[in-house]
Amino acid sequence: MRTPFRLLVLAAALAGAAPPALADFYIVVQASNPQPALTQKQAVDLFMGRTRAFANGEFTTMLDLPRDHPRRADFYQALTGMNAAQVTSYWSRLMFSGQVMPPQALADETAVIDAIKRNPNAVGWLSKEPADKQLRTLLVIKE
Amino acid sequence: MKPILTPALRAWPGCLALGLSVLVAPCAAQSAEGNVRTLRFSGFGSLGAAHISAPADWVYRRELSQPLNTSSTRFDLDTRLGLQVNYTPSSAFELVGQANLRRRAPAAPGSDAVEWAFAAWRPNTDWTLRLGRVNTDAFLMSDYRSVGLAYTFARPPVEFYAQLPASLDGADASWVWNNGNALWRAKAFTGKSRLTFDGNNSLDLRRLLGGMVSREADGLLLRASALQAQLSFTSPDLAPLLAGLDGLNALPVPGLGAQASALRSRLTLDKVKHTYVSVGIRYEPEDWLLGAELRHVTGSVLIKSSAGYASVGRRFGPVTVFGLASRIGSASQPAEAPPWGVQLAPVIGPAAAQQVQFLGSTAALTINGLAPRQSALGLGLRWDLDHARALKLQWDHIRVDANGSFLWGNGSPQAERAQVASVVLDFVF
Repeated sequence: MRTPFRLLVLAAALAGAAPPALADFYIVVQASNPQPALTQKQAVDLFMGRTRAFANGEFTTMLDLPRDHPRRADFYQALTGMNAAQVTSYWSRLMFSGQVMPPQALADETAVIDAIKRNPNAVGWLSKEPADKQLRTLLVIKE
Repeated sequence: MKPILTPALRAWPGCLALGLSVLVAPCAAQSAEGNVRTLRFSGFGSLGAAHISAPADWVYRRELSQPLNTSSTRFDLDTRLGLQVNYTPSSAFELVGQANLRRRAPAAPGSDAVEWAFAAWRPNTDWTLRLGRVNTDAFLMSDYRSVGLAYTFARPPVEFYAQLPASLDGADASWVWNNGNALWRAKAFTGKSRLTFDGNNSLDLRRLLGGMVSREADGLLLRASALQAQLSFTSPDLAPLLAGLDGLNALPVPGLGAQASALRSRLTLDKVKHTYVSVGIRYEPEDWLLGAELRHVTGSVLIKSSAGYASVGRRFGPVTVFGLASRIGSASQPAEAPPWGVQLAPVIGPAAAQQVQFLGSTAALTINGLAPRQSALGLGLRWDLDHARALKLQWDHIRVDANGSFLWGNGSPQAERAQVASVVLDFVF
């Protein structure tokens, strides 16, 4: 009994020490949204407040996950190359000077999906490919 | 000149936006489109401690509006709290209010705590029109000079920013457009501004009109701006001195009245047109942070000056090491005390001549105290503790030229050196 237990502990330790698997991020909108797709630059412009609109001129409603969400730092690193502190510093310059507010943080990915289903101009990101037919992926960001 | 409006009335822009936001809060916290909120609260702050080694009674200030605290260890230099509310009932309309709580000169009206209070209208995605209390967006860090987490240093370079106007009661219009890879911004603004400092002294900027254009691409921000305003300097403290100089016209001494008027003109400013011109650059390739800014002010000899700074920083993971050099120079030539005592003794007697001499010497001393001439070298590090907090350590060596201590409280004419060691914790929420 002792050997299998040790192996189990060793396997668990190795699993814990292994680097987390890289995953994709999905920038999604409501399926009815006319925007066909996004380039990475367009996605950066939208999520970093450099533009407020889709290509057709419609205002967007940008959605985010909370600052302490485990995947948020990785998303912005993959999207912009900036770490979490740089992203906050960047937004501090814009939001506290009354220019533009950052994407609104909702509680979790379920809340983001729910908000997008209700708002045709909402744009959010998910860490898993959406299975819901009411959502459509505009861009996949490789981590 | 006595202000016509009471402090309560002068606070109207803040009351407007904050009041409306509070009124609408209960019924508009969430929009009809699910859990997307129309009302958002946020804030920022800094907890700072600084040790200042400077001549006795000299008071270091990051803004002229700070009180004359002569302690060598200071907690009020960088400590501040900002609270912001945004009410966005639609994509095209927004109300914003921001209070900036920090220690100010005792005479500063309470409404100075309202940093932003405006209504914004976006007729389309590129244009924004704002009305209320906005900001004189004429310099690189103008809009966020109190938001420590937004910049690398413990505080914006004092030589450049300490005496610049901040809040603007008026309006601005901005236009944002993309051209290829570059993001362009242009803004025009107009209104009035006031800077209260050293007790009851104030600098009023009326008929202020300015513009700014910037281009940002690949980590490089280039920016140019200009503003024009009518400046008036109001100083009840100087009233007895000015009255004394006026009284010298009555003395039957050739040339004395002209000399007194010349001194008087260097102590007063009444609706004199001034122009501020500024260029700035910020470049952040990879882990490097480079920045520089220059400005030149023309108008009266009292205000005419040039200032600039350059900075370099390097990120090592969460830690950024930086260096900073800044300088301000005044166009005002040092005034010499006129030899009135010697000239007037045969005419009005030695005792009266001595009093007139005292008047002239005081006028010269005051003129020289209104000129900024100093440079600073700073070294420091910023440690990003997490995504919303940064700890900064900074050491500054400051060299004040003779007759150049205007940026200091209780300054004196001699050349001096000073050191400032600062610890600041910046945060946002």
